[in-house]
Order: sequence, then C-alpha cells, then structure tokens
Amino acid sequence: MALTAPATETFARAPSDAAAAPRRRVLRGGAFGLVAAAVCLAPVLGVLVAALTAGDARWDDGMARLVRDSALGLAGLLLVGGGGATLIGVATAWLVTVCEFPGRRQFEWALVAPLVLPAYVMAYAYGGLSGPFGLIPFEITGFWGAAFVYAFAFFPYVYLAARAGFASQSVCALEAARALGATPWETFATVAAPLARPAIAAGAALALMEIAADYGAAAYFGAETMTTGVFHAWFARGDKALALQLAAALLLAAFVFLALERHARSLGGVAGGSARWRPLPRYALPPGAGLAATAVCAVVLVLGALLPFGYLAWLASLRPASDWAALAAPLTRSVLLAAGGAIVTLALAFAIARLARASKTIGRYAALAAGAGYAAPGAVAALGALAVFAALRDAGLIGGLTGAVAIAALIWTYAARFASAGIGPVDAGLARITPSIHGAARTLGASAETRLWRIEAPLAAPSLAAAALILFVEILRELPATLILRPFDFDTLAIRAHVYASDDRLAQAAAPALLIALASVGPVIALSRRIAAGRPGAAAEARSDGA
Amino acid sequence: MSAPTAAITIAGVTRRYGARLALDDVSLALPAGRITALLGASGSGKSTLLRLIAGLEPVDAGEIRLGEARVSAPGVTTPPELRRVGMVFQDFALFPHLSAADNVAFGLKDRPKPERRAEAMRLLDLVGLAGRADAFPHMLSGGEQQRVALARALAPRPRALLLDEPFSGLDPGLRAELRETTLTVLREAGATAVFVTHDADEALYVADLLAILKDGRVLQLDTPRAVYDTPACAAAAAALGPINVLRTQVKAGIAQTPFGAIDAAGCADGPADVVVRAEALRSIATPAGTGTAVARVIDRRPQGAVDLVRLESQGVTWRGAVDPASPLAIGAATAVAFGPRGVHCFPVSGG
Repeated sequence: MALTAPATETFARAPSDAAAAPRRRVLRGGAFGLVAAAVCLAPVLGVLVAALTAGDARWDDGMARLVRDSALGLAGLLLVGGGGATLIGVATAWLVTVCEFPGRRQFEWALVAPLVLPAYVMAYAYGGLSGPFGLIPFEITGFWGAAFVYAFAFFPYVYLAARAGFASQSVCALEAARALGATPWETFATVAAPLARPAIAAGAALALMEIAADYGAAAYFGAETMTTGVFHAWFARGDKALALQLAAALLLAAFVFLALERHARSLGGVAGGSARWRPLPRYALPPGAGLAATAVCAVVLVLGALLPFGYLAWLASLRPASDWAALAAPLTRSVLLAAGGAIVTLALAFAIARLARASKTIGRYAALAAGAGYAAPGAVAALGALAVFAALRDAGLIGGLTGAVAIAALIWTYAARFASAGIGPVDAGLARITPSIHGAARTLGASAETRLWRIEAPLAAPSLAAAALILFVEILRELPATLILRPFDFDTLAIRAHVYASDDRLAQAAAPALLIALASVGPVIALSRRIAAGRPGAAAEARSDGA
Repeated sequence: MSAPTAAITIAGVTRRYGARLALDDVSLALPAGRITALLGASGSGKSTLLRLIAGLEPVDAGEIRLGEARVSAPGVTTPPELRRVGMVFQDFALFPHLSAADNVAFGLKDRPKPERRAEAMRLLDLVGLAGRADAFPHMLSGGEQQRVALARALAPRPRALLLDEPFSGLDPGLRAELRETTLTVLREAGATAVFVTHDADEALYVADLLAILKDGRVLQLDTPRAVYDTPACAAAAAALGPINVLRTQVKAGIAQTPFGAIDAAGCADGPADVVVRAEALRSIATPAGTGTAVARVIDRRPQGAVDLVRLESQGVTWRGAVDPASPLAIGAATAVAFGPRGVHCFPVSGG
C-alpha cells in the first residue's frame, strides 16, 4: 500500500565543512539522528527478540496447518501476484516508452492510477463486483482473488521502474538496433529488456515487498498468507509465540526483498553508455497493432483503477446522508492520527537526513536502520511495538497499552515504518543548502540555532511539505498496524472500511474506502509528475511534443 | 606613521586531507587595511587557506591570529560565527529565500528592524544596487549577485573580508567592471581583504600585496611589482606570466644560452636556472653586439596587447612576446636578444 519508496544512498553531497568539523561536534549534532535511527529499528528488533524469547509455540495439527498454509500461500501469491504485476508492468512500460499508438501520452501518466486504491480497497470493490449477481459473473475470492488484486494493485511499481529503465537507455543503443534491422519485438528482447533488467528487478522487488506486507486484501478474500497467519495465531489461537515467530519469518522475507531491491538499483548504472538525450524515437505501430496496444493499456487501466473506483463511487453515491455523517468521527480520527504520524515521521526523517549530511558513514547506517523499519510489514512492526511496550510495562515505566499510550505506540509504529520514505525528500530539500550557503551564514555570525530556523528550515520547507503530504496519505491508508494497536473502539476510515467489508456490508464500506482513495489522488499525481520529470531530456521532449 | 600591524597572522599552518598536504607550514602576516591576493593554480591550497582563516576548517598545526586573538590552533577553532570575518563565496551563496536587502541585513543583529533595513540599503547603494533591494537572488544577474554578496559580507563590519575567486564565474567585460567596483568599495571601507584568484592579471591589478602559492607552500609574499621584478624562485616567476627556464652554467656573471649570452649579474659562478620572461625578448634587424643569436620563428599567435612567438635555436624552443606591429614572420630567421630586464638567475645548490 505504499506510495513511497525507501531511502537509498542519496547522500552524495555532504558538505565538506561538516566533514572537516571536529568529530565531537558532528556527534552532538547527530545525536537526534542516532535516536531517530534507534526509534525506527526498535520494532524490528522487538519482533526478533520477542520471537526468540517467547518460548515454544503450541504444537498441534492446527499449528502445523497454519504454518504450512501461510508459507505456501505467501509463496503462491508472490509467484502469481508478483509475476502478474511484473508482466503487466513491463508490458505497459515498454508500450508507452518505445511504441507510438493512439492514446499513448495519456496512458503514460494514467497507468499509475491504480496506486490511488490500496489493495484492500480494490479487493472490496472486486468482492462486490463479482459473484452470481455481479457485473462479473464469477466469484473473485480466495487465493486467485488476492493474486488478481495484487497484480493490478502493485503493477505500477514495476511500470514506473521499468519505464524509467527503458527511458534512461541510450537512444543510440536502440537506434543502433533499429539500424541493424531489428523489429520492435527483437529490439525489446535483445536490447531494451536486458538493459532495463536491473530497473525491472527493483520494481518487482518493491511489488513483492508489498504483497508480503498486505493484510487487508488477503483477509477479505480469505486467502491465506503470512500476515493472515500472524493474525490467526495471535487472535484466533491466542498463541503469541507462534504469531511472533511467523512475524519474524515474514520480516526476514521482507528483508530479502529489500536487499534485492537495493542490489538491483545499485546495478541501475548499467544503462549508462553514451549519454545523448533526445526525444525517444518511437515505433509508430501499424494501425492494427496500435489499436491492440491501446486496448491492452485500456483494459489494464479499467481493471486496475476505473472499474473498482467507479464501482465504489457509485455505491457510495447511493448512501444516505446519515451514512456520511457517521463518518465524521472516524474521518477526524484518521486526519489527526495521520497528521500526528506524518509530523513525527518527518521529524525522524529530518534528523536522519541531517545526520547523514554531517557524517556519511554513520548516516548510512542510520538510513539502513530506517530502511529495515520500512521493510517491516505493518502487522510485524505492530507486534514489535507491542513487544517493546510490554517490556516497558513489565519494567513499570508505563501502564497498560490503552488510550493515549496506544495512540503513542501507533504513531511510533507509523514513524518507524515510514521514516525511510521521508529521508529522500528531506535530503533533497537539504541539498538546496550548499556548503557555501552554510559557510556564508556562519561567517555572518549565525549560530547553529539561527541557521536551523532562518536558513535550513525555510529552504527545506517546500520539500518537507510535499513529503508530509505523502506520509499523511500513507498513514491514512495503513490498515494492519492500526488494527492491532488502536485503542478499543478507535475507528479510523481504514478500520471502518475493513470492518464493514468483513461484515459483507460492502455498500457501507464504499464511503470510507472512497475517501481514502480520494485522499491518495494528490500524492499519486505528484509521484507521476516526479517520475515524468525525472528523466534527463524530459523537458525537451515536452517541448517538441507541444510543437 | 606607525608600522602597519598585522591584521591576520598565519604562523606555521599545516592542513591535511587524509594523506594529502593541502597546506604545508604556511606563514604569512597580512597587514590591516590592505588587499592581499593569494595567487596559485587550483590545488595550490589558496582556497583552503581562506577557509582556515574563516574558521570553516580546523588547522592541523600552527596557528592563526586575528589581531591579537588566537582563533585557530590544533584542537582549538573559534567557530566562524564568532570571528567577525566576512566571506564572499565563489558561487556567491546568496540565501535563495531572502530578498537582496534581507540577504544584506542577515548578519546585522541586535538592532531594531528599521535600522537594519537602513544599513542594508546603505550598503546596497554602495554597490550600486539600491534599486534592486526587493529582488530575490534568482531575479538578479550574476554581476548583481556578486555585488549583493559583497554588500552582505561587508554589512556586519567584519575585521577582515575574504573573497574566494569572486569574479571567476562572470564574463570578462563584467569582470573588469566589478573588479573596479569591488576595489573602490573595499578601499572606501578601509577593509582588510584577502582575495583568492588563479588569474595573474587580476592579482596584479587588485592586490596591494601578493602571495604566490604552490603545492601548499607560500613561494613569495611581496608587492605585485616586487614579485614581478624580483621573483623568489622560478615557480614564483612563472605565476605572473609565460617564462622560459634553462639549466645552464654561469661564468663571470654571464649565462650562455642558445639565444645568446645573457646577463646574469649577481649570480655566483656555477650551475643555475636562468628564468627569462617572454616579454624580455628583443628582436634585432641585424646580428650585432654580444648577447645576440639567430633564431627561427616557428609559431606566432596574437595574444591581445602582444603577439606570442615561439623561437627555435639549436634545438631549444623559447617563448617570446613581440609588438603586434613587428614584421617577424613564421619561418623567418631573425637575430634575437633577451634581457636585461625580465631575466632572473637562481643558482642550483648541490649541482
């Protein structure tokens, strides 16, 4: 359900004066960053430590079946859902970057639209659309339902990465292939796809991470996977040890995907070669093939966004005003929780980004800690937070995990999960403050506090605001951690949607689900724009297209 | 008049980046109220020295004093914000979110707002930018940005002003004009200024005192005229224009070269490096007298006020400067002589 990506090595331009400053000063300034990194890492460590110390799970047939079904379920979903997402993502990315067909320019940005719908919201929509009396005359549910929703909910990750991979290829390599007489298909198979492979792998790894982390869609469809296994072990069986051990296993799987993503991204430079940026030459597909390409993209867009979104909007429009009025309280809670979470998350990201600018090495470890927090699925991070709070309670430092304490635990879990996503934007904002601007402020007599408030904060503010918006929506959409940690009867929009949908009251689930989707529109447009602007020469392309 | 006191004293300063010595035992005394230029190629340590004076980096050995106050020593670095040393950065480093006036007023503290604004306006007026007070940096041209940066650095009345290649990003015409403005402003303010440049003409033009740096060492500190006329070594001479260097033997005050005998008075007998400036070339219509030789012109290129020629004699090529009106043609053989002005001789110790 992420609209964001974890931070990578973005700290190429640490100011030289900071590097030269005495080590003691660096550490004093970076203390917040170290604390922030610890805050991000704590739930992860909490899960691992608790899993190792929780004792043995209850051994019985039910347990064996649960473990087997969870693991096989996840493996199958990764294979089918992840494979589907990769296939759709690569195919659409190749069509819009390399070919020319009716509607290509519109599809290029519209194909990220499925990100507007969290996987669980898409699942509710297809649950309602399918079945004996539905628009879709067969049941979309269970394993295949979840795999189908994952493929369409998460292909944009692959699409975005592959599109960047294809677009960043040297025009010369593709032109050379054409000059040597290769057909579009041959060019794709022998030149474009191999060159874009690291980018595709990075996108696919992100999609796999999302599939492993999803709880809402799988739970709604009754598909068994690791997250549902954790919930089942904890709540249905009451076996804490088993839940923690499943969570730890899931966490390790997530780490593998994260490592895969980082590794693939570090290989991204393969595309290098001759850096000539020109509007990409596109194959003008013959009319028949062109219409087929249009049809493929249209079907993907309809299934991934228009149909489920339109259905939910239609359902929601039929609801009486009293339904909407009843959403006021959960909406307020969602907004407050997401705002509070976004601020705390941003503060952590800011502290880590500043630490990284002061000391590259320490900063890298801090960013890695935040990345580990990001990789942890919501359900896992929540169990980690519970473990840490239970230890605090046993030590007599806090009371029970209710009320304000529970809210604090929830916000902490959000922050630990999403801080990594904030580091990149914050760092981009801090990059505006060049070493000489820093030096200028110092030689003009500005103390560290003055520089923070009069130089760093105002200069970084625009990108901080953008990051805050994305984190806000990200937290608004979060389901499993909220489900585990929220105080009793503390409903948010996501919880409402989940509870109604689970009760088969889909019509009532539509309104909160629609609100969540609408809130996501802004960040998804921002994401799409950023990707479009990211390619060197994109501006030139826009100009020549406009002419 | 009393002897000028040193505003900035640099004593035995060393600065390392890992294994590389950026500054190697540098000592300089920079007088108050004067403009000192640090001239050197990139990597000579001139910008590092500026950053050490500003306190942006610590020293690894030696010390820096501002007036009487010791501000840098190993393990002790008064932070830049407490030094009252202004700095104009190569990229100007204007605060992009503040207007020109607010940039200039940034360093003015502990004063009521109207007063700060008035002072900022006074300085903007000084650099000829009173009309652009409310413009933001991205709306200013490069030259205007440079002048705002200068006004901003001068505003808090610093004890010394450091300028890091302040004109290097500007086009040549603007450069000359801004150099003039900057000089006038600095002299009016009576500022002690240290100026880093890699441009010999700029250094000669601007500086009261010229320090030549190479490979982290100071080769010479003197007035520009003295550095030009009596360089301390071949490298110092090379910093101020094209030269020819020849390792030869000096006998009785005369050095024999393929371009004739050259007057090396004051140089002891024995091996020496003879340094001959390109502009020491004289060409003579007919070979006559001592010190002349016949050389062939192998290249000639216009270089503004003079033409640079390459002369070949006995397999050795030297550079020379001739008047653009000179009839010397490529391929022609001509009688040449060098010196006596522009000829320097440095004995080579230990053979």
